[in-house]
Amino acid sequence: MKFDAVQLMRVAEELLKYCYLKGARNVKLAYDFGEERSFCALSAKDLVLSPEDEAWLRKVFAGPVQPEVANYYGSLAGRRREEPQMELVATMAELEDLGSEPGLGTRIVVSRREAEFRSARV
Amino acid sequence: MARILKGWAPGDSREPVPAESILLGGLVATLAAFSLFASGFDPVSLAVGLGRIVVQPDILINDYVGRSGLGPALMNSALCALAAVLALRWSRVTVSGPAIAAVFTIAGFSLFGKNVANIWPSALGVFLFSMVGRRPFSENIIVALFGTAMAPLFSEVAFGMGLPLPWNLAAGAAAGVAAGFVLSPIARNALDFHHGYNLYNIGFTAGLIGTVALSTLKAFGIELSESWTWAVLGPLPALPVMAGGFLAMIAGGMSADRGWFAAWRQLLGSGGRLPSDFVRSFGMGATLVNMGVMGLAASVFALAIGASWNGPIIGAILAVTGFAAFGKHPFNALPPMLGVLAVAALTRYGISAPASQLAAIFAATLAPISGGYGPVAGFFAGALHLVLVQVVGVLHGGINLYNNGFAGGITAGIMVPVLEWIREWRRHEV
Repeated sequence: MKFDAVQLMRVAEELLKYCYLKGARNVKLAYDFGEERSFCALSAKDLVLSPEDEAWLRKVFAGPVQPEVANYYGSLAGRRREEPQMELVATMAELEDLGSEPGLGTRIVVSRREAEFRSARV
Repeated sequence: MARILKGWAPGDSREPVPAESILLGGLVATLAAFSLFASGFDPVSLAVGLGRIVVQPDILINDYVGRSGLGPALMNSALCALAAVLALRWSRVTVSGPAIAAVFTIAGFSLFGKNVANIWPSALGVFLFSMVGRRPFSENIIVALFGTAMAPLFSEVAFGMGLPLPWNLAAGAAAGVAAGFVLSPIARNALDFHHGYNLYNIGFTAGLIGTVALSTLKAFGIELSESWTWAVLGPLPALPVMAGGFLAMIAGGMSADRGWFAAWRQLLGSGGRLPSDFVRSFGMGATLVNMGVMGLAASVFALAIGASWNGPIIGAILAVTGFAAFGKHPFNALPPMLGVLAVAALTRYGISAPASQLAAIFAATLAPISGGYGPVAGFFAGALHLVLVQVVGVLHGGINLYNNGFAGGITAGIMVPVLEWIREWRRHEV
């Protein structure tokens, strides 16, 4: 299994935990693993984020992807029961889309570029 | 400074002179200038002193200030820090909290164990690990920089065993490369033991590898050299220079970010568990202020315990300052430091012993425990840290420079599961 795919799943797990802690109980995750870039989309129809939460998420993901942090400390993601580690997983992926409105719920799309040199051969 | 830093934020695409370049460049320049001043602007004595530093074993504790004088020790520190900065540039990584912590830690430990010759083998080992795994070296650059904790392994094998040239250098390099090669995978798994509550994770990892290395050497009947150097110096001239640097950091941070106070208040409320990149989360302004404040606090702490202002103590203060960009702040760092002091005073170790003084400053590695579980837990973590750090060095014989990281890893690994259980039990979740 590709390391980059594992990293994207860690990001998804933290997003899932974040939405659960915010009150979502109906959350769908979808993945698209590509050759160059992989995507993860989260949809929580029963959750509407406050403007502050939305701004916070955008701020957290505003920083650059940091492979030196993501690779080394990535395994710590998902370890805490009540502490989402969004700052950590934000170093692993880029925020492609974030929207939250009544009726439609919350959608978050993140992506991760393939970094493995050998990705085409594994 | 303000003009250059104003409006800077992590990920900003503008690249005039970023704040981290000023910070790290300023560190290297200050160390080099202080070195020239301390050596009386005598390049010959600097070169001779550097040579003396390079060709001797470096297991804990070998104070370069005591061995070669303040000037050569500081020049060695400047050169090693410069090498770290260049490695970061070459790797093209974002220089934020962990990178700043790594450079300051290298600068600090280059006053007592790391030198311009012995830092390369373990870093090369990490580089080879990246190549063999076909992963970008940038993913492992932080491990490579912190992994120079294993630097004494090269020096010990090359210069401490009486092997003839060039076999001594080859054997030393091979040992260092081998240690560096396995460092990255072990370091990532070591995080699982303490869950990120020991900031010096590579110290814990290097302690494990050092234990294997020492056991192997002992199996072949090879004993480590028992060199030990600890200079006894007053706070002059080091303290004024360091205090000036820390004040400059605070001033720079304040002028860089008008909202530094609000950001710093938020920073002071953070737990500090790995990886807490303060630059990314709170901006460079608040981070610089925090680094300056922590540097001053560590200096006052060293004065209060009557520490000698030698290589290890100055190095410990630099390391604490660097980690103020990556997890430490006054509220979470002080409880474990006080815990060390209390137990040192109650036990036979005493606070005047060099190991106790170093442990008191380096106990801030357990800052995330007070940040996560409260100051009382942090205090007891510091207390447990002291009794462990006095003993665990025997396992690796001083090959691992981050002995406090090794003890801190064991302390956190023992305490965190218990503290977590208590927290869940109080919430009726178990």
